[in-house]
Amino acid sequence: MAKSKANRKGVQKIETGFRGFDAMTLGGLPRGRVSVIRGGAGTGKTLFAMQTLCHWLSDTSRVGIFVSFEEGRNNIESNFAVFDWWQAPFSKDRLLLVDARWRTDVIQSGSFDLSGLLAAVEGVIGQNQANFLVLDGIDVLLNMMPDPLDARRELLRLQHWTEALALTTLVTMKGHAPLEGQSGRGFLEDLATYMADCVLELDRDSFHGIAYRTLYIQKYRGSGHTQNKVPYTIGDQGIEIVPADASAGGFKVYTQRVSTGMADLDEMLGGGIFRGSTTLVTGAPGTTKTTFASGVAASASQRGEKVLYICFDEAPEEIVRNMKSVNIHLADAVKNHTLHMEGFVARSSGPDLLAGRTRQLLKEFQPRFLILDPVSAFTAIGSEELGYSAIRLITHEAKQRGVTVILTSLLDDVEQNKEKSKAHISTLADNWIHLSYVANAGERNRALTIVKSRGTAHSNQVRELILSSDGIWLKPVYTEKGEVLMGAMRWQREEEDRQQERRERLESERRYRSASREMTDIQSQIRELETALEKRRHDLESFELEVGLTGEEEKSRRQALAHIRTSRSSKQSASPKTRTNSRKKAPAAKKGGK
Amino acid sequence: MVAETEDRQNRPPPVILKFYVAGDGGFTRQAVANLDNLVALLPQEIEVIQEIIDVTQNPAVALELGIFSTPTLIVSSAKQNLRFVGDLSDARKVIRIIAPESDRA
Repeated sequence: MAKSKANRKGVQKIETGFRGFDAMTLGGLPRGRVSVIRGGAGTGKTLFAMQTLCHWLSDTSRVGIFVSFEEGRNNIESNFAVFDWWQAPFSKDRLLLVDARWRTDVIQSGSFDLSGLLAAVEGVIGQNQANFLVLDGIDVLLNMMPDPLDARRELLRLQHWTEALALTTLVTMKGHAPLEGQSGRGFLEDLATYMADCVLELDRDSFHGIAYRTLYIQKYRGSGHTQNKVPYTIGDQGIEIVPADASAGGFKVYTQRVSTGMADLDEMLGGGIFRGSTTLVTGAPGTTKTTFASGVAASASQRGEKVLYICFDEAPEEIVRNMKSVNIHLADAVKNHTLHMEGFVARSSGPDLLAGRTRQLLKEFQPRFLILDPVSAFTAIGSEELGYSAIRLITHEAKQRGVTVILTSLLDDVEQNKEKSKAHISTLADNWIHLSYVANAGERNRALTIVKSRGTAHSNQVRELILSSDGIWLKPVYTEKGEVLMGAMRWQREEEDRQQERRERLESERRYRSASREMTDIQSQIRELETALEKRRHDLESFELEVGLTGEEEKSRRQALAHIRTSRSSKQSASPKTRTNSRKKAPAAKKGGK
Repeated sequence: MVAETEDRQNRPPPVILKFYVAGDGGFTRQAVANLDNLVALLPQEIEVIQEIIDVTQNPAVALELGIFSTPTLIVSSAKQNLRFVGDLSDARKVIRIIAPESDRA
């Protein structure tokens, strides 16, 4: 009970048990006031009222009175016996069913009022401390009144009486088509609308042959509330109104990550997807959505985790057979009951019923993984709004149970239908993986992108998805000027690169060779020169020696000459010749040394 | 209450009129006056036993008999068991149903 919260706001509220409704109204229906539910035939007014009443009675100290102006007690009991929440038979002191149908043998004479009813109910309250009253189909009685003013008076009487007793009252009435010549709603409805503190309108419409229902809070005195029409479903658990955001809490949040069955993808997702998260896999036909889902199923069942695989318009056996071709084997898992595959025919029933069956299976099979392939089957039938609400129901249930959900969805282009689909899907899923075809250079290649992944620093890469007889895997990225290349384009570009590389390698080899050749040449030249140099040096040394010797000889010659002059001068001619020789050779030796 | 049974043995069996009202406000008083008017218009030979019950004082009775619209008149005799809802402002209509022969006369 959000009692303390409600107190602050002035209006006390009572929970209806419809999670979505209690969220929309910030706590439920006004306590001690009159609420009116208005709607056409088959909108579930009576169901709404009874379900609320039964939720109220889940506290065993409480009492409720259900006054029906349309149905007998036996009918009511058998109508609700199918629901789990109908803990029939309630003890008579806790749920009092009053058959207040207009008796067919009654003859009317003049005007009448509802005092008898109010007195009877008040009598019961006195005895039982009853505190919740449902008046189901009060319009039947009010319409018997000869004067519309009487009906107005009686509604006011009801309001005053409720206020005096502080009795929470829920009144249901049919929405009448406006009479000819009149505009808007019927008189009664208008009256009820003004009188009540809270007015709910239930609406039933059909879209492409599938009925869907919406709830709208027309007014709520003293309380904020959701302004838009909210879809609700009627399934085997009665009415369900799902909160707009299923991840609004109330369930265990896991930090454990589970594998998608593709190591590369796990890496891109920072280690896999969170247990209990919902992953949406979108893509055009043939982008391996089913293969992807099957891969997850196969890897989970191999780890011994139970998987519930629900497929639409495709027999489970077909999927098992088809997946064999890409090395994904499901047959064993089916055999040992770790994998339960269920084929639904999408158009067989409305989304709400499909959601109901799915949730029933979740309850029975208790899986760790749920795969809905494709979830677009829900939105393809009936209105999108209703489909999303059904999906929300399922994902919500799955989150409560800690089941990891994989939803595949037919979506041709992430960029298309931006406003609606994207926004819707976005709130449904924690992770969104988009599979696409990248058409380029005359071929189509599969690509995988992580559009979003809550709570994960995920990779922003576009990866090429390879589907082969070995299974599915991701190729490492090949980027080129900020563009990711795939398939033949990629091969071609890679080949070009290889050739370019080869050319460059050859060229540099050639350069290397010529350079080393030149170097060898130069080195041999150096060696030659060095030899020459050595030779010259050698020459020089011998010349120097020679010069030295000549000096000695000259000295000794001069001495000899002096000696001879003193005695004889016959050897003069030989000496100048030797001198000339030495003068000539000395400059040449100097040159070579340089 | 009329009780003159001994010397009228040939007369039809008595008719019991139980009139269920809520409280004693103006609407109830008007209805009771209408009932009195109606009884006065009935043929003299019809013996009438009249009772007025306030459902606000006897809620259990209202619940048991399903008297949710007030006033309600329950007419019971050996011949018939009729239920009227309303303030009996149209007395002639009620008389036509309770005692058709008298109306013709």
